[in-house]
Amino acid sequence: MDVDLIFKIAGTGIIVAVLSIVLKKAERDEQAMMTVLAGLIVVLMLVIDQIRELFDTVKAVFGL
Amino acid sequence: MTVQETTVFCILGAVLCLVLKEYQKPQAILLGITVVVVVLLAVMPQVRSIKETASQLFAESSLQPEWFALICKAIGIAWLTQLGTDLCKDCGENAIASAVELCGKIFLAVLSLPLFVTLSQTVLGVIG
Repeated sequence: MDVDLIFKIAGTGIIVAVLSIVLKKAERDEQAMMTVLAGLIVVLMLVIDQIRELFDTVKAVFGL
Repeated sequence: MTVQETTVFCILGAVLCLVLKEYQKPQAILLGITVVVVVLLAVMPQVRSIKETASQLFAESSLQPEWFALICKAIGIAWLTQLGTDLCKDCGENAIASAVELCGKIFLAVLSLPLFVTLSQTVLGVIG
């Protein structure tokens, strides 16, 4: 099981949260939003591979 | 992989989700999706062995082998639909969740239509 992946995603989330808070305090709201968006896209790219793998496996096992 | 590992993994994921939910809700939901997907992927080999045993048992009975494939497909569709519904509900989108559910029901109905036709023809043959 991929425990690393979970920590990677949680770490990305925490870093993005901290960056967004700092940028919001510095009154750079647009950049804070962009950071959040970038973090979301990075995590989405990680997740999408796993989802594809799961769907392929389910397809193979159940013969969908 | 053992049941202890999956349990600990899920609890860890839940706690991390709880921490992330305070600051970044979308990331927490993505983390939840990842935990679900990784755990299900890890359990797939067991599902495969169950399916093999069941197919052997089915082959020994006098039932038609294509029915087993049909049952497997139905289980797969139900499984994926349940997964999609629950993940959508986690995001707080109940309307999308029920749409996923409805799609799954329709696909299941389409899948079982030939079987239903065979059954009704048999019944009609017996009656008339």
